This record gives sequence, structure tokens and C-alpha cells, in this order.
Amino acid sequence: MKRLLSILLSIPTKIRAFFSGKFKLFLALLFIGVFGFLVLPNLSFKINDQVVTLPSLDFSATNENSILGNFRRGRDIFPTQEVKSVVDFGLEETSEESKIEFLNLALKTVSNRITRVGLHDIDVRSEISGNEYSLIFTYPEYYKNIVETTRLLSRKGEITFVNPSDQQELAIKDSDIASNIDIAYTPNIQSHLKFNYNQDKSTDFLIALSQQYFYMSIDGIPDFQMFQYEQTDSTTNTVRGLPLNTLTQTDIAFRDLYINITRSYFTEKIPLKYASTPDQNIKTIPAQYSNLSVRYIAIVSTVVFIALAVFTFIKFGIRKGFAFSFMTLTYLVFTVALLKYISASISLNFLIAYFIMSAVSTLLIWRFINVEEKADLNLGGKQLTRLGILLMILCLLILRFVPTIGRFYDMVSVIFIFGFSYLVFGFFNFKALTEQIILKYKKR
Amino acid sequence: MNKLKRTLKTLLIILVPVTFLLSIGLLIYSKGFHYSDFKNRIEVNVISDNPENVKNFINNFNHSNKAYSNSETGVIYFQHIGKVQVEEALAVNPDENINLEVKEVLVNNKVLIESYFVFFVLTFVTFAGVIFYIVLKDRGIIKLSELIKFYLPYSISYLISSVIFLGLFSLISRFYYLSEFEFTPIYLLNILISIVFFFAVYGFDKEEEITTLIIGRKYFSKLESYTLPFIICAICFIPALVISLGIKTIPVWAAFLVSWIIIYVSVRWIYTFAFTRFDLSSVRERIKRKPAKKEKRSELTSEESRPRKKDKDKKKKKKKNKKI
Repeated sequence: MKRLLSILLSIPTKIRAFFSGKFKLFLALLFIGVFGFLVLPNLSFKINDQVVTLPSLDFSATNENSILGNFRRGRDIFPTQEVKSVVDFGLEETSEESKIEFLNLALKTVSNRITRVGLHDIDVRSEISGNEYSLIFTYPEYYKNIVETTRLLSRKGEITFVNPSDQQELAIKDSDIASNIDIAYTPNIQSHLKFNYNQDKSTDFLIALSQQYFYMSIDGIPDFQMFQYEQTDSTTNTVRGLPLNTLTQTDIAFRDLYINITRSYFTEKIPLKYASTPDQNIKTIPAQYSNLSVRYIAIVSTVVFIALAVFTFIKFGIRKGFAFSFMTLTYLVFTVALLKYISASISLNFLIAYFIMSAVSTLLIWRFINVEEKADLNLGGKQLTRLGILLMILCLLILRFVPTIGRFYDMVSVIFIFGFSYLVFGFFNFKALTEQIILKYKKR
Repeated sequence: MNKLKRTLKTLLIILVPVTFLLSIGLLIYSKGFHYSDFKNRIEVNVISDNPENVKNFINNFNHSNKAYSNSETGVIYFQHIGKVQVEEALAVNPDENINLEVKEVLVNNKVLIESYFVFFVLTFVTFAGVIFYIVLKDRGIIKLSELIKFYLPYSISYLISSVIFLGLFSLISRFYYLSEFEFTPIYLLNILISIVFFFAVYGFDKEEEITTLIIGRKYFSKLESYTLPFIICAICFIPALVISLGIKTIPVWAAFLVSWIIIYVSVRWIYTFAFTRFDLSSVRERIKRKPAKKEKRSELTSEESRPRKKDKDKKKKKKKNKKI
């Protein structure tokens, strides 16, 4: 009886020991397995006459319309597309200095629009070739509808509101808008513009809505159908705008882009004086650096990490070598999975940031495998977690306060992912692996 | 060897501030970077049916304002010169097999300067704020003088390394066309130097006094402990990346390695400067005492020639200081 009682009383202790012991190691290895599976490419091989394809869990499985789940081919190391938008000065005689001044202004305005919409991977510059004054837009390969996007970005941005029947301009102006110009979404009408008019302009507003809707014209062409949708809209003078462009009816992503570019026009004090017309011919610019595939980069990375692992085995011993290998695999699979999830675009800056942060991670792992006692391990975990939080805060602040970040955006996304990884690993993975593989077997 | 070490230390103490001032001067003189992606330029497209003609023309064409030429794409870039002068220069040796298309390219470079400056300040403030939190949490109340001593090594090394790196780029841009890619390591430099200081912050006992010397020592020892592993990582990573991405990426990786060297030098300077400052007073004392000791030695008897206890204690103290 006593023996049975002692066995029963020892069960909670054994359970606690199990969960704090080998189960931690099991969880850490399971983590590697799950994320490793997520980052596997589409592999297939032949057994006899049958072709067997390994199931790869593409993130697009979560949503059939999702475009997530793959890296995007960015700038520098993949070809890009160039569209030219020529400025039309019309028949009036303009001096060369005025033309150059306008071109500089147009460049600045377009750059601001690109920044406001968050299109950090589009480059724009202006060119003067003979009598042709133009804006040149460079897009990564994954952009669609680039001629239309160029047209939107290089428009004058002159906003008027017109009657749908006779196209006569209405009394309400964009200066009568009392609220922010928002992009809203409802399941029935999908994404659309939304804003309120001043209460003083209620009469003009009611006249505009006498035919149920009116048009918002940009550069003289009706672009949005403005109407009231919900019951509360009438009390707050709210109006919603649906884009009329046919491309926006089928392409959800382009619809959002269309609306966001339109919103940027409202932030400009005056529209541009001259219009620009995009050239329908798209020029393909070859990659500035070698043209590669993601697979090749993955192979090179694997070779490098194997070299580092071999070095660790030789220098630090077998146990520490294994711990290093598992920790390296942990951060590799986790960061790659997260980068795939956010559809990161692979550019040279992306690669530089990834390899630099990998080098930093390798140094941190070496710090972990050289701990002597648990107190040191706990300190290391705390440092890593805090570093992770710090990097995440820094990245969020950069994205908020440095909107003109341009090419550095790719680096920031990588640093953010690594910061999040450090937070997770400092809390659990690296500590569990170090404790169970190294410290547990350390001779006292 | 000691003399050599002392000479090197003196050189380091003098050279780093001189380089810092020169860098500022160069940046002002070049108005940033002389030949670069960040300034307006004139592009000349060299067009021909035979690509060999294009390559030959580009390789043989030399002009003092030629910033860069790309024989693969057939473009020559000029900066700090007007369009008219470019056309005149091209008209000197006309080639019937070649068509030349001259374009003036305008860029919006203010954006880069503003965005880098905001990033520079933001990174410093974010790290400084978190480091303050960590130190405060570990030590409790912290005096203002201690806080200043704490941030001094970080802010000085942060500023020195960034300015020297930019100055070096400005110098290189006088001879080599700087692209946006080669500029991006500056962002990583700012983050890396902050990460090193972040790790140096840990390990202060609550009772330990915060002095510039101790912080400089911790900062430098942390950097030293990571430098060799960093070199090993670089030896493993960079050749593989250069092979896979092409030799055109060498300047980018080289810029990154140079940034690490600059970080190392700037932190070393702080440590050497702080350490030397404490050591100078004892060195001065020894110099003053030396002539008196020499006169006495000729008169000393064998008993009196034995080193005194006081001298032994002083020597022990000096050894302790050196160890620190």
C-alpha cells in the first residue's frame, strides 16, 4: 500500500520532469519538422514507373484567391519592366527652362504618390531626349497592368464632380470634403472610396445626388461612381465611390491599387499642369546582376551552412555540433517559412540582409552552445528575446517614419522576420535545445 | 614591442579624429557623392547593328566627366557636365557605324538624404531607449553622470563609424560610380554597431561603478569576441555569394566588410583613448621621478640599491591598471 501510494505521489513529479525534459526537445524538433515541411519546394521523384510528388503545403491552400505562398521575383537579380510616360506640353510655346522645371515637379509629385501608396519597389526617373520629356517607370516582374498603373501615377490629378446625364460640373468641390479619403470594404460592393462632405454643403450635395449618383472625374474623364450606400450615410453626408475602370472589376489587387492611387491625388495642393501619356510598349531590362533561381540560392546557402556545421563539429565537439545544426535548421526553416508567407520579393538587398542576419544568428548560436550553466543560458535567452523585440520595434518605426525607404524595404522585412524569430527562439527553441543536448550531459 | 604598441596607440588616437574631420570635409566638398546614382546625369546610348562596335567604342572612349560605362547595355554615363559639352565631346571622333542617343536623366535625390538621416536618428534613439531600460532594470536608479558615461561610447562610435564610412564612400565616388546597392551597407552598419553595444550592456553588477573606461572595455571586448567568428562567417558566405550572384556584387560585400572594420576601429579608438587617459598621469609621474632616481643610484650602497616597498606597490598598481 505504501509502495503504491509513493508511486502515485511520484507521478506528478515524473510528469513535470517529462514535460520539462525530453518533451521540450521533442517540441523543438517537431517545430523544425513542421516548418521544414512548409518550406519544401515541389519535389517529385520516380519509383519504378510511378511519379511520386511530395506534398508541399503552399500557403495558397488557406485561401483559393490567395497569392501568398511563393517568393516574388524582385529587382536587381531578375529582369524588370520599363514603361515610358511622355509629357504632353500641348501646342503652347514653353521655354526649355519651364519644361525642365515642370519635369522636376512632376518627378517629385509622382515620387510622392508612389510613397503614399506604398509602392516601394517602383523606381521612377525623368529623362530628356531631344524634344521628348518623359517619366520612366521601372517595375519588378511580378507587377501586372503596369501600363495602366503608369497612367494612374502620371496623371494630372485634377478632380471634379459631374452630373451623370450631361457631364456638367457640379457645385461641390474636392475642397468641400470634411473627412479623410478612406478606402472601405463591404462584401457586396467590395473595396471603394469613402468620404464625408461639410454639413454646410448639404444642399449642393443633395442636388448632386438627385439622380441617385454622380461621377467623380479625374482629368475630365468619369472615373468613380459616387453614391450613398448605408442608411447612416445620409445623416453624415457620406458618399462612396466605385471605380468604373473595367480592370478593377476582375482584379481585386489592382482595384485596391487604383483606389489608393486616387486617394493620393487628394493630398496634392494643385494638380499637375500637363498630362503624360504612357507608351504601350513595355521594355524589358535585363537583370543588373546574375539571373538566378530561388533553388540555386537555396543550394548555395545549404552548402555554406554545412561548412559552418562541419567547422562547429570539429572545433566544439559532437554534442555542440548537433546543437548548432538543430538551432541553425530552426532559424532557417522558420524565417524562410515566414518570408514565403509574406511573399517577400527577392532582390539583392533581400539577399544581403538575409545573409547578414544569418551571420548574426550564427554568432548568437555559437554563444548559446558555449554556455556553462543554466543561469548563463537564461541570460542568453533573455538577451535574445529582448534583441528580437528591439529589432521588431525598430523595423515598425522605420516603416512608419521613413516612408521613402525605397530599396531598403526588402531589408527591413528580413530584419523584422529575424527579430520575430529571435523572440520565439530566445523564449523556447534555443534554450530547449541547449539545455537538452549540452547542459544535461555536462560533467560537473 | 611595447614601443611599437605605444606608437600604434598614439597613431590610432590621432588618426581617427583626423579621418573623421576629413570625411566631413570630403562630404561637403563633393556635396555627398561625386559620381553616383543619386545625382542628375547624362546617359548616352551607343547603338549599332554590331555589338562589337558598341563595346569597342565604349572601351575606347575616355573623358574626364565620364562617370561610368556599361559595355553590356551600351550606355555611357556622364555627370557634372552639360548636355552641350557632352555632345561636343562625342562629336570629336565620329564613327559611322555608331548611333548616339543623348538623354538627360533627372533624379529625386533629396529623398535619399532625408530618409537616411531619419533612419540614422531613429536607430540610435530606439536602441538608446531600450538600452536605458535594460540598465535601469538591472541597476535600479542611475545617476545622470553615469548615464552620460554610458551613452558616450555608443554615441561616439555610432557617429564616427557612420561618418567615416560615408567619407570613404565619398572618396571612392571620385573614381568609381556609386550605385544604390553599394550604399545599402550603411544601414546595416548602423544596426550592427547598435547590436554589439546592446550585448555589451549586459553584465553590470549593481555595485559596479559605471565609468567610461569600464564601458569602453566591455564594448571593445564584446566586439573582439565576435570579430573572429564574423570573419569565419564572411569567409564561408561571401565567396559562395559572389560565385552565385556574380562579380558585380563584390563591391557590395566589400562595402559590408569595410563597415565592420570601421566599427572595430572606432570602438578600439574609444577604448584606447579612455584607457590612455587614465594611464597618462602615472606615466608623467614616472618621467618626473626618473632623473632623481639616477642621481641617487650612484651614491646608493648595496643595501639601499634594493627596490623599496613603495616602488613595488606602485609597480603592482600599474600592472593592475594595465590588466583592466
